[in-house]
Amino acid sequence: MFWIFWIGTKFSVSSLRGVGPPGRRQCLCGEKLVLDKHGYRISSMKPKRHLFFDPFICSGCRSCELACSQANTGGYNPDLSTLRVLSHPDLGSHVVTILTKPCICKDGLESCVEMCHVSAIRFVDDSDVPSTLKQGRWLAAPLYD
Amino acid sequence: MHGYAGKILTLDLSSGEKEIIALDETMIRRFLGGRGFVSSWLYENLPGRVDPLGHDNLLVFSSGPCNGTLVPSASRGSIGAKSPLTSIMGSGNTGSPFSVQLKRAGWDMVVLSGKARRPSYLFIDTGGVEVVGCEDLWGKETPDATFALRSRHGSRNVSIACIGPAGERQVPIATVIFDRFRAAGRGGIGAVMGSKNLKALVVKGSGGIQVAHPKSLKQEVLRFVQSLSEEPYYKRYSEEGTGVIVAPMHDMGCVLVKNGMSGDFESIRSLNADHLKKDWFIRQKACFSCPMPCTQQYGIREGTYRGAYGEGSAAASVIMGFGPRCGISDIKAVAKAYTLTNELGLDLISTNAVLAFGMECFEKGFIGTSDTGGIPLEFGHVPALLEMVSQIGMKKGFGAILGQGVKKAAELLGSGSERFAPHVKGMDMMEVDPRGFPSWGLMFAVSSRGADHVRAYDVSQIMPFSDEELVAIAGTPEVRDMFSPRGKGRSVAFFENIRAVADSMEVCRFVTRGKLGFPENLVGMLRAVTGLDFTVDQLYTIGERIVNVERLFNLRAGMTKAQDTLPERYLREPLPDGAAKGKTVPMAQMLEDYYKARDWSLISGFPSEEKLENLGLSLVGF
Repeated sequence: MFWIFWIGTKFSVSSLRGVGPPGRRQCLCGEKLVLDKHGYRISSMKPKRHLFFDPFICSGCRSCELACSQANTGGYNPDLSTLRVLSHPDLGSHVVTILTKPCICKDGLESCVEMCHVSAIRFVDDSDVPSTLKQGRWLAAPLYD
Repeated sequence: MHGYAGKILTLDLSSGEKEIIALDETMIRRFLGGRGFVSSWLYENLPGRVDPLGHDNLLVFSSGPCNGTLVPSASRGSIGAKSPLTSIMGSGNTGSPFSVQLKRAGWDMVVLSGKARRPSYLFIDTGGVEVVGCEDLWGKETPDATFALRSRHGSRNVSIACIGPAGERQVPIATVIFDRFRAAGRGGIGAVMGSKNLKALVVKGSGGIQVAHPKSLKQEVLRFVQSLSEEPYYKRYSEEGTGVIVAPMHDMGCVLVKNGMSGDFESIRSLNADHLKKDWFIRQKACFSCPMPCTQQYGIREGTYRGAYGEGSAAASVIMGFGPRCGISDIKAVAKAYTLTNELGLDLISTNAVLAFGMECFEKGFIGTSDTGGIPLEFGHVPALLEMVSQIGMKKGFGAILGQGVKKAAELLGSGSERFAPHVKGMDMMEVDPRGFPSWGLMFAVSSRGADHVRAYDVSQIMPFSDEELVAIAGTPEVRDMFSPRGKGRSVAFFENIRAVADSMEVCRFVTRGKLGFPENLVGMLRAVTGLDFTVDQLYTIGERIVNVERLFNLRAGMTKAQDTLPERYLREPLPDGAAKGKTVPMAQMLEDYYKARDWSLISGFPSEEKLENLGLSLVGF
């Protein structure tokens, strides 16, 4: 990943010397860059992003599971989804989202969020975690591996 | 074969013989899947004069091409058999993930025949099917049976279809309950399952579903959901469920009040959405892969019916059925009655139809407490209603008579009660008064499973279609006029065709109730899923073919054209009050238009030879 990006920055179309004027930039993939005065990347600060869910908005439709499994495995198979929507087996109630492994979204599109039609899940940057938690309604999806 | 598992499983429960049949592309191109598969299979494999509760009846479960993919609301599943209630086609469509798991287990269809030697359930997974004895589950209500099977087979990826005491006792209005809360199989499919000594089907899915063009499917889905979110019904249904339409429908004069004796129910406001939200709803839920959470999870928190709990997408049917139809204005009692029907495995609509019919008989003095075992079966009498629901489910007392459906109950009771027995071809009518909604009257009269609203679900009067769209649908914008018979025949035929397509793709007709149900808006997703080059015209033809094959099945089973009508009350007795006061259903002209639109004989009711040839159908076994 690093080398691919390094080549990308080194031979950027905008400038052979770098990717632009000094300062902070955000790459399309979400990675935050700090560039020196020549436009070279001096550090990468890919923020850690965390999956949050709103248990009261989630309707339990499991479209996110389908989207995730499709994006990462090519087929619609909820068993292969990174995130799972769990509900009580008998009551069919109380929907909870968990992760079965750390997110590995290949295409970086966060398909699960894109396909959530009721906006019940979202990815939150590290720095935004406190404010998101403070809202009360959003819960961080626990990792159960 | 993208979008399909590619295999059909047939099992003879008597001998245990199994056969695996490969799904061929011709069948897909002719009938698409789901309801189309069920109907065509029954037409081709079930002779006309089979006893619905005998060994030879076939019970078919089928999934469709879109099940288990991102296609919005594609978690429906179809079920069918010859109906013990009507002796014509009995079928249904449910919103549980049953069909998704069926396809993930590797089966497009499961066809059951014969009768198991002892009470059993079927466990179906990728390895095939296993018949498991279950004397311990026989007699259990549907939640208990579901819990027991879940504890044996797990809950994730497992879907359970089971019958309750009503199905076991072969009550002709018994239905099949899926995953505790969902039902399908009007016309007594639960009784057919009971007659086969089959308590449940447990399906465990494990595989993935491949589609032909995932990227294009994603784009189509996002476009579809965007259009859906702009539809006016999306927000209302998502926030308040289908129950939100009850009060407006009452104000249009088309809610059955006291079995059709009236068109005005003064307590209707106590059943409207605000009260529901306050007293009943817990939250909105969605079916698997559906963007529109129109199902209410409900529960009664206090009072006599404290603890009643469940979920159901048919809130409008529930409220109109146990509410105005039975004269009850207590929403909690309505919820309790609905919970009971699910627990016993009864068809909600048929149950409230027979109860309201029984109440009218009681009010008119055709029956008394000596007939009902001391139960005062009066309109609005909640304890009597709840007791009678239990009796119907357990097939005991007066409930054993009412449980036969209104047609047979009226024959047993006599005294001219046939005149107000609300049924078509033996199927109990749903809770809309056709005098206030004539096109729905036509729908009831011609539906392939008897008085039923979802086979056509004609919305040309209640959705904001443009003039051009109405011309395409019905040939005239005048179809918008509720009480004019003009255009209604063509409109019902049009909607029957497109609903057959949606049912066969297994997408929900509530999500696709407006323009989104037109094949123009569905064909892109179907192509992306299957990789087959379906055109819009082909889909319209497939819809028409399915409706015609169901018609042929019914005609072969002994149905006649004369049965395409409504009970006398709705044709001759003007509605005494309400918004549609003084109206009756102008059936003759609408029916004639419908037959012309269908190219069916006005004399025999058979499709014309030319029509059959165009659709590639033939008369088999007549």
